[in-house]
Amino acid sequence: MSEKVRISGAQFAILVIMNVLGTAIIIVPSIAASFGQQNGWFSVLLATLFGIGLVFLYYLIDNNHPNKNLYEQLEDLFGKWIGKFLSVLFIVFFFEIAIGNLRVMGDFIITQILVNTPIEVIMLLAVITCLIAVRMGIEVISRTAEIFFPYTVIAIILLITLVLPESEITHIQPVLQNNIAATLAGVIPLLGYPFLELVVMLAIMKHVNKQKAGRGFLVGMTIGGLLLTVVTLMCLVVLGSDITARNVYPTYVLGKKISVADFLDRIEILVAIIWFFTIFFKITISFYVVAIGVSHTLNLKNYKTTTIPLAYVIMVFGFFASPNIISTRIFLSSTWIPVSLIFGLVIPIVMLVVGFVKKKI
Amino acid sequence: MFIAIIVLLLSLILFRFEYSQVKKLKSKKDKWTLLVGFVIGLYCAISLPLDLPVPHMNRVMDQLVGPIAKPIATMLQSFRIK
Repeated sequence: MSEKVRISGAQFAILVIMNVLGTAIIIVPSIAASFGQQNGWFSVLLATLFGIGLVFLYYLIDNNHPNKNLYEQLEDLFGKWIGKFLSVLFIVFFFEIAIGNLRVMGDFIITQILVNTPIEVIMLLAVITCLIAVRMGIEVISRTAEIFFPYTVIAIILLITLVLPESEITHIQPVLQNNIAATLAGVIPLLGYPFLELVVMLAIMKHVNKQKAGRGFLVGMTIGGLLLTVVTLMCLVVLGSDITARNVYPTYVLGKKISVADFLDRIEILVAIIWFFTIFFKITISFYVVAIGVSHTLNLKNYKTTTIPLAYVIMVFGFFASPNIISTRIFLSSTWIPVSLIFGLVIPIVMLVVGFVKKKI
Repeated sequence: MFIAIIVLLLSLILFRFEYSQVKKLKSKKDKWTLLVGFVIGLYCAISLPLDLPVPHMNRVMDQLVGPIAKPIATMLQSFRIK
């Protein structure tokens, strides 16, 4: 069973921001630019607006069943067996988020920072760190997020201000005159990654004070989405749409452009700092939600029973998830779209409708 | 093989430690879940050094939602810069 703890609205908002940024902050600019080119930032902005709409959907679902997590709500709405079946499907979805992000992190480190280190070692260290956090519980995870959040924000502000002198506004001109259809098409992969993945927050929303959950979710989504938009915009004005689209990690390349008075150069590790914090929380939240899902489905007394075996499975399945980052990008732009639409939009809408019908009866 | 043996030994120590914690819960279901979970986890762990087969989740998902995903991917591909 899940824990009986409370987290504040601000902590919840920070967790939402960390989940929106997650791996997205380093990959999204490239996906957006490969569709909308110089208008890529607009695709991210539109996806953010859609994400804000999603917040209202998730808030209404949570409001119908206060003090119940996603798995308990599913059983309440659809009965024991269908509810358990849907819970298992959601567990697989969250498991996929955890292993996918773990793999992306491993790929980034072995291709950009520690090129001779085996990916297994990187992934093992990440899984052990996440395992410790998951065993500590959601309260500790939230407080840790609160501690690390200022560093993430400072690193993003530093990144943006330090590359500002390199920016060239002509890179994003003409604004919204060409590639309008491609700009709109670019919204589709961005919905699946990262916005629809936020359905994961439904599983921990019951720990947030009722009045503050909706506001925290909305604030977190708005700030996270706007930060993604600004980072994409910076990539476009500094690197140009072509380099942004063709690089796998354009935000990291953006960090390499920092040069202050020919003295402070190559401080791209700033980007890595932002990213390690956000990715840690994204993997940890997914891992935690999988653990409480399994313990709820099997009616266990304590969710910690499943954490160590799950750590093994996440580590190895993450290793085999995809052969490289290119394959991951293809997966995100094809298979992941319908999967995230089903779990992030279709099932939540069905949950909301069934909830309203049941209330009327 | 040497790595597999080390993984096995470390896992046994970890299991011993975790089992003593779960024992305090006095729940048979928790004990069995831990045991079965560790067997699955151990298989996964030794599959890396011994090259045992493990399902590739992305490929499984590709096969499950492929018929829906393909038209979307084709449509998106037409909008991508070449």
